[in-house]
Amino acid sequence: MVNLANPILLIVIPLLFVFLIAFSSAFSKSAAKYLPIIAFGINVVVAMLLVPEVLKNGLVLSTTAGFKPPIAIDMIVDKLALFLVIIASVLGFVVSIYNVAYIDEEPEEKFYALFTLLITGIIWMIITGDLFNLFVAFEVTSIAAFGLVGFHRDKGSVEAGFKYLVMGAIGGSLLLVGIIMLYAATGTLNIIDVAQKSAELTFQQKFLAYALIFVGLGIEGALFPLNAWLPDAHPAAPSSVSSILSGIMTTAAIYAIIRITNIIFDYNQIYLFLMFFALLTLIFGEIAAYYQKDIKRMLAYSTIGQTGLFFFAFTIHSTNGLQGAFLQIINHSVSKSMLFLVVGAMIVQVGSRNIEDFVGLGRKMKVSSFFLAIGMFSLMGMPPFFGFWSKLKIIFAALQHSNALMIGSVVIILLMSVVEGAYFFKLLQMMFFGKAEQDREIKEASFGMLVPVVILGFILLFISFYPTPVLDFAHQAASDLMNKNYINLALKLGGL
Amino acid sequence: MNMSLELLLATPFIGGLLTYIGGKVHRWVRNLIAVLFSLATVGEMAMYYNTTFKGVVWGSLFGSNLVLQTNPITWLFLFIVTAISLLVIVFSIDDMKKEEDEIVLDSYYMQLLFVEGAMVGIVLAGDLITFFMFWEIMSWTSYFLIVHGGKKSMAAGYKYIIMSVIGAYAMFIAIAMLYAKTHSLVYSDVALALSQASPSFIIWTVVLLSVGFFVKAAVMPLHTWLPDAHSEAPSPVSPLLSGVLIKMGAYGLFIVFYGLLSVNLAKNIMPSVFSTPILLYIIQWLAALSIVLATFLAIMQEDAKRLLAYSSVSQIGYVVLGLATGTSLGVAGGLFHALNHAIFKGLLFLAVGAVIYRTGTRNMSELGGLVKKMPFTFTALLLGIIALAGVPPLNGFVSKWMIYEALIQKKEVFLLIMAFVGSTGAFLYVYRLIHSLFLGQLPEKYENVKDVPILMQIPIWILALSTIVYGIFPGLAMDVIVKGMKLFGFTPIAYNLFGFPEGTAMGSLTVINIAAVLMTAFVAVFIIFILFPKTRQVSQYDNYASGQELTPDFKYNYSFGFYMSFGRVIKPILSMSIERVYNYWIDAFKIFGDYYMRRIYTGNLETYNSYIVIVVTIAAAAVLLGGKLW
Amino acid sequence: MSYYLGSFLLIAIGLYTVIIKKNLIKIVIGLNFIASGVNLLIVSIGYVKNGTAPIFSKIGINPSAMVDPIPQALTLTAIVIDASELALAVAFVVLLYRHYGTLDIKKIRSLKW
Repeated sequence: MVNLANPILLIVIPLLFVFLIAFSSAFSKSAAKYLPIIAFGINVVVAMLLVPEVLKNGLVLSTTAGFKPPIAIDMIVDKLALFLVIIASVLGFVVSIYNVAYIDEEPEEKFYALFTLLITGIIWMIITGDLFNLFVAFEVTSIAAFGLVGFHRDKGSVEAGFKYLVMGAIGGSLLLVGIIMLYAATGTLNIIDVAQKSAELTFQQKFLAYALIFVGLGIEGALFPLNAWLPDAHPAAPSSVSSILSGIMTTAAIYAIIRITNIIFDYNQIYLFLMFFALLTLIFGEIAAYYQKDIKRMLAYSTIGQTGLFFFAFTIHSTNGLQGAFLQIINHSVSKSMLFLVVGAMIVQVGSRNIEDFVGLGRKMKVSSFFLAIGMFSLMGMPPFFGFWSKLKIIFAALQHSNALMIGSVVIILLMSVVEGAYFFKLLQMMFFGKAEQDREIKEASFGMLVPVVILGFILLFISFYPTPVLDFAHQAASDLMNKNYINLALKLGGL
Repeated sequence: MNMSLELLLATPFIGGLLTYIGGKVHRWVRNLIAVLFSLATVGEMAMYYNTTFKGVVWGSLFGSNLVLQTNPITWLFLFIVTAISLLVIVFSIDDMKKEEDEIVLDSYYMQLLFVEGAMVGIVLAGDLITFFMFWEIMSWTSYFLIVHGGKKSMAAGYKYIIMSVIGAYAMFIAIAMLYAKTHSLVYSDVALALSQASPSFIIWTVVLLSVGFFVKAAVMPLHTWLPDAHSEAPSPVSPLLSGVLIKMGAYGLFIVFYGLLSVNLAKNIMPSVFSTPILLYIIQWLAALSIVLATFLAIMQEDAKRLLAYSSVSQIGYVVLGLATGTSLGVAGGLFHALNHAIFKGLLFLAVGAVIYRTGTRNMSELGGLVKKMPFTFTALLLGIIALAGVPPLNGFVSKWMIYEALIQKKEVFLLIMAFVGSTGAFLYVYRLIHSLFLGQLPEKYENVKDVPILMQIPIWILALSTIVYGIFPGLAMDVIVKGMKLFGFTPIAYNLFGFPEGTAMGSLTVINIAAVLMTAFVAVFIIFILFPKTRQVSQYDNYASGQELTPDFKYNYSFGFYMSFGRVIKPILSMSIERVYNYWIDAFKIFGDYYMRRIYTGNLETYNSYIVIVVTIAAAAVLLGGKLW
Repeated sequence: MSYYLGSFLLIAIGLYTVIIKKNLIKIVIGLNFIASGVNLLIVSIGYVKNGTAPIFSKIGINPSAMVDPIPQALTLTAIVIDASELALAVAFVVLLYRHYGTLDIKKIRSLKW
């Protein structure tokens, strides 16, 4: 009896499918379309099977190659990683369904292979317990993303892809240097082991290594001013890819920063420094989004803003703050992926990415527009949608520390929320109440593209109206991270 | 009891969803469901009317605990909310028929019921987070209602939602600060915590909360959304907005100042002026400024609905002025005026809506002489403007009288003068309204105008009768108000069904006597008028203009620039506009964002790469400087 | 020490190239410089003076006299990743040249703000 609740399966099965997809065109033309659905369907099942295990033990650890960590590479799924894995798998599954109807450009099997690889890399980044493995996962994700951004091979996407590649490659190198410096200082690559051994190091010894890792991951994680690739790359990619890039990839990089900061570099001073980055990210993202004419570019800038928001919540450095950050991550992942999917379907119908051309779409594409509105409301943090709870938790957590800095930050966050409301309402009102000058032949999105949107929409509605389990789970994950249960449990289970 | 409150809250929301589904079947199914559910809400409200539930009902909607409570004051506001919503929905059935797209109508009724539900939630809320949640729901659902009004309404709705969101976030900060202090947001806990908090903390939270309420209540410096939104919204929505929605701001102010913060506490932590805490005194002045300036602006309007919208700003000024006096008489007057304003402003907006329904324009200079064509609407509007002007025996009189009396007792002469000026100005603009719409010359194109259909008449009638009922029997409303204010620690004021008996802290007032006196005078004048005929009734066209005989196609009665000379007098006041200040800042912000902030993303790969290198260099420099970040 | 200096020099040259040079090919070469520098750094971290290969080929070899094997393994992986990244970069350069008809990065600025 194979134990299916094994984190390694989360990576191995999709990787296997990547190869299957790459060679599938030899057997069947259309097999490539459906294989990712199977791969991530299995992933969702495995992730669900992990849930009781994680809830029971607090953490699931699995090793490779029959060795014990720290020699062998290990995969660690704790509560925080688990819910990101669930998000990534579900998004992968849903977006794969979307792809079937959406992708019609050759070479399809290469697209599907890269797409599967992208999500595999993301999951890999989330669950790995080894620093070098983190780098490899990071590069796998990045390379898949570079290829997918340039997939259309037109003027804009090639340019965006190249810029993204250069920045991503620099980021990868910096990350590797940082990891190697940690290795030189501690003599190990296992995260838990590094955490233990680095406890003896001083702040200065770790600082440069940490800074390099932070910059490397920050490039992928869209932190200002390292995020300049993002507003180019997200619109240039096919919408389904943008949905993954925006929804979970930047989040995964931020997750890696959170994890590394938390277990290796948990100094109070650093959080102030990170908060500075977070607020700048938020401000620049939201303000730039306000001026966009291209709807996908607007959503991409909004992603930067949202990233700043949940990164800020992390830098509050309290259990409540982390809970807020995780809730915001869920909110952003589900809503923003859904928005990109809806917008992709609309772009197919309208034939343009210009916001002006979306006038009156609310009456033509009713279902799509409805879910677009829900996603936007959730991102703005309007009750009763889920974004309200996450924003509530973040603000409440921030004002627990009633110093001038926190109050100032909260004012900034809320001001930027107003800016966010300004551009989202501008779009919504144009779509629902504007009248197009000439009557256009616009139909509702095709069934295959609507199903994933509806699935994500219902997930969002479900967690909006019944958020208790999510709130509790996020709180547990947050308190685990704050108390560093992760390290203790991994030591107990992994026999380090 | 527990279930009933949740049911009362849920009814409009469920109704909204069912309405939308019903619209898919047939439009009459939809209309029926909308009416039935709003009727059911009124019914539930009436069933539990005036029962106090001081404790806390723990529901568990939306995962978080929903804290509900009731006291007589909530019933007063619930009465306003549910009753006006029902009338508005009934009125909408015919008025919104002109909208051809059925799906727009489906969502219209859904949003109407959602707004009602959100307002019920605000009033029933027993803690600040429930309050805030429904507050936000109310903001965005009502935004969708406003933008139903057509092309121009989009800009108005945009302004409305942005200002609402800013106001709501000001509240949000205050709520989060309170939560950090108390870890519970139930009103009683917050009140307890505030009584031990430091003065600066109290002032900050109260000011921030008030800013949120001021935006919604359209108190003067934050009122700029209202004239646009209320005039551009569809006619049935305007009464809901003007009559009910802005009252939520008044309700919020009441809760903050008398539920969370008591007057005694306020007096202890801040200096007093005219035996009023300074914060409340400032609010009194803001309210008084609203009264005067909005009245002046209303006088100068050419658009009937815009006139009424400015009049709303001015009348809500009375409500806030009353609430901010801090004496039982003033607060009772403010609360009563909230009810009265809901009734007569609802009536006026519906009556004007009826005129718009028949004529299709709200420009007053294009209308006139409709009194023969729409006599019923004319009568209703007449009652409405009498109530608004505060003439006994209709309902506006009593509440205004209470507010004046409260000001007199506090010897606040300037505020009293400003309140009187507002009241006098009200005569000017309501006269303008009724004259331009119903009197004067009938434009030829409106020869065939009829009175509105019965379904639109019913709500107007109900409201018109209410102005009389609440005018003659103020005791009906004072019942809940006094009972509720007792709970909030005010000394109860004596009242009976017909007014206020002699021997209390204030002068006595019995509306029916005053009405009798007035009626006698009126009858006397009328008899004199009849007995000594000095005038001869002539046709409108029995006249000359420039030596020519008048014909119906000749427009001799211009009502454009009606108060032009008065306008010249108050021109310096009118030329001040807070909106220009806001726009200046918004423009500055936009320019700053456009030219300095987003141009970070130059499109130049070298720039982007150098950002990375700069960050790395800063980090390396920090290491070289000894790992110190600052 | 000289290895560290050399590797950091390589990385610095690479960063310089990426920032200052306008030619796409040169930028790609700059990336390659950075990658080589990093690889050299990794290997030099595991370097032990006069050490042997980390294989117990003879009896009596002290493990502390061996070079660290892990960095070498890491380098191999890193080289593979770099190679694929550079291949992709060159492919992008080809496509960019087709679309824009130039290799000057200053002229490839259709996406901005």
